[in-house]
Amino acid sequence: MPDGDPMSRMVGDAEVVRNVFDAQQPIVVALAGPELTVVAATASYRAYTGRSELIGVPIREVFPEVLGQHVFDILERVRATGEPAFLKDLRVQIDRPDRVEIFLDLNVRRQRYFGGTVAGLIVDVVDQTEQVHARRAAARRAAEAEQRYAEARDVIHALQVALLPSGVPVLPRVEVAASYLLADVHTAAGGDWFDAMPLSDGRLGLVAGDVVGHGVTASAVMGQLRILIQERLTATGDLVAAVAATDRMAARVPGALAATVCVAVLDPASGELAYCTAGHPPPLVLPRGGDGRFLPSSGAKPLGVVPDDTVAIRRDRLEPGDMLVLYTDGILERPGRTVAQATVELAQVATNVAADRALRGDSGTAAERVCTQTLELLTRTTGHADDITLLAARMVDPQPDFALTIGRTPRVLSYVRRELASWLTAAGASKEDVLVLQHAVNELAANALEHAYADTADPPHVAISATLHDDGRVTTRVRDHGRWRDPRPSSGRGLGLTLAANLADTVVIDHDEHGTRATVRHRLSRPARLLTDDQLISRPTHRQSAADPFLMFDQPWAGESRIRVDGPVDRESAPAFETHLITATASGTRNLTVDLTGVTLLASVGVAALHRLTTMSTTNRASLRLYAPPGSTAHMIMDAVRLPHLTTDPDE
Amino acid sequence: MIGSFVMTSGWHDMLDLFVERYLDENALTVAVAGEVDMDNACQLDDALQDGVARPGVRAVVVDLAGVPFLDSTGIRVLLSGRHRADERGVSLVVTNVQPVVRRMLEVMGVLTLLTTEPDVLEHGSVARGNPQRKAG
Repeated sequence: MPDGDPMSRMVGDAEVVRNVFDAQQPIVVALAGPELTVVAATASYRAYTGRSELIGVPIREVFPEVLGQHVFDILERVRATGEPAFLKDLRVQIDRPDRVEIFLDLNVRRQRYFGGTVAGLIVDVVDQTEQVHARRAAARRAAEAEQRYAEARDVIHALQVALLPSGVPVLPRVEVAASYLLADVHTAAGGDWFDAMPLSDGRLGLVAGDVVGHGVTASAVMGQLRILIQERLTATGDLVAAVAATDRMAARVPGALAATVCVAVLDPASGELAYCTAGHPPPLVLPRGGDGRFLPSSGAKPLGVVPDDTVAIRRDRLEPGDMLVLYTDGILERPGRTVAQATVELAQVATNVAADRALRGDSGTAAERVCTQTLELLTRTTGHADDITLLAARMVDPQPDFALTIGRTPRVLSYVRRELASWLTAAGASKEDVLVLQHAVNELAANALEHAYADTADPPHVAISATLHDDGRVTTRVRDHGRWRDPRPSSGRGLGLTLAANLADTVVIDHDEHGTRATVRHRLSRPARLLTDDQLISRPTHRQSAADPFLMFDQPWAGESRIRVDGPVDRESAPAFETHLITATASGTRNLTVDLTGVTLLASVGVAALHRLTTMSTTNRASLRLYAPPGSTAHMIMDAVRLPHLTTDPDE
Repeated sequence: MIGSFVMTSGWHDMLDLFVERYLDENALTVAVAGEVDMDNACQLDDALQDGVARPGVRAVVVDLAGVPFLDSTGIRVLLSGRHRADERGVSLVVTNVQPVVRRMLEVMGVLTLLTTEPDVLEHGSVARGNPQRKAG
């Protein structure tokens, strides 16, 4: 019952208020006095502290080790200044009875007595532990999801790069280019592919395809379909047979069903074109100087959909300078455009780009321009929701063969290199291939000039020629009319031939009484452009890390020079391994025994190094004896790869 | 890389190899500019053999920053320079190797040899320690 006390009349009976206070769910504690002694506390607070008798105890003694010094500092400051403080997610470890970690929100304010005298502090405490744990778990799940997603995306991109052709062929009468724009990160498709392959009769096979579905499965199926079509087409040259085989496979292989593909076979000599559009949008032709036109669909259904369907193909003809463009439907299904709008746009933009009216000044061939600029211009405003692939082939006039006759004049090799480079570049060779052929021909020409006429009074006369064939290979010949001399040890000649042979696909040297002919064959290719929205995807490059230590030591007890190799010869250690052996053999001019008994791993890079060393020594007529006893790792590997070696110790 | 080489190779025609030498204390830098091939490798050879044999020189650094092309004759000259240096207890290393030339040295398996100090090759991480060396 209210009595005469004004507080009792306003707040309620002291006993009642005390009970209500004690039952408060939010933890409340009141502190007073210079020591910040606990003067009031709710039951919930006592439950937290695990102590029932707190009144009169200084706060520092209640939580001596739990609350850090900075919390006490804050309490002092609030008392001194009257500025309330809010501490969020204060991390506290308490023993109840096991040590647990909790998170508290603390609201600290100064309390005045009714009359106005400063009495102490009121601290409200809200347990945020569950919320903090929930937030942390959510953040962790998000981070994990992000991580898993990034990993999956990387796998898909890596798969695509591995499953797609690394480049397109360089041909005398057709200029080929391809580009591949990857879907943005949230789609991660991976079912598009392209392929361009010279056929044995001089025609060119072109493929653009699209597998239903997304992700790793789509990439894997794409890889199978690509190889099947490529293999069938190159083996038979038969467009119908290749599509029919793929059609049968698509009916059997899960994930390949209803894939769409456009396969075209172009005869660069006549311009005759045969193509099949199995559920795929038809090719676009960009005539020289005219407007783009889409060819009619051949009428075939998507792969595997109709059992034993006959493959419907159509024929057309390209004129010199015309460009054929194959593509996937990602370019027609751009956000905010109907397929009809996008189709018209594709023809217009590609026509402008082919005529070089769009983005001037881009380097590269006309076909490359169409592949990259069309993509850029069409996706610039709309973006894209799927992978987009473009494959372009333009009929061009073949350029005349390369022919050069040289004598022993100053700086003649520099002249040869420059002339060859400009011919190759005009033929469409990549920088990489120019580099390879320049070096190889330089070595062979140097050999011819230096050695072929050493014993004769005739002035050196060396003819160099190069031809690019319809199969995409360039044949370069270096002929002289002097007398062949076998390379001698320590001449620079063995090294030059080795360098040429290591760079080009094949180097063949034959000679008769009229002279020597060195023939270099090398397949040319230009890189396809793999793009993401804002950057070129660079292919993973060989990572050169520090050499793994392995033991090699000279063994002076042996009669001749001898080296023993212990441990793994792998990608890490192989370069150092090779360097050591080259040094020990003085670049293949000094005899050496290599004891490989202690080799624990002989990777293919190690085998390749041993092959090179053997070649270098043989060329220089030095003896390189590789010793690996039966049962040793090195013996098993070298046996398997037929690398000659001794199984008994030559120095015993 | 090859692009710039093709573009800039013209002026080299006019000239033989540029070889400049700087001596700093007992270290000699041989800076080379131009395309090294059979026609001019002898110039580099002369510079290396002379540098290695010069009294007081303990280290020779062959700076290939200006070399966009190096053929097998050039590789042979570098190897023989290194060989001669080893014999005389002089260190000889190649530095500032351009990408195309680097590739050639890699293909021939001599890049590490030519760019690594001899004592590192002998005592460094490659052949660290040989406690089991057989004595006889």
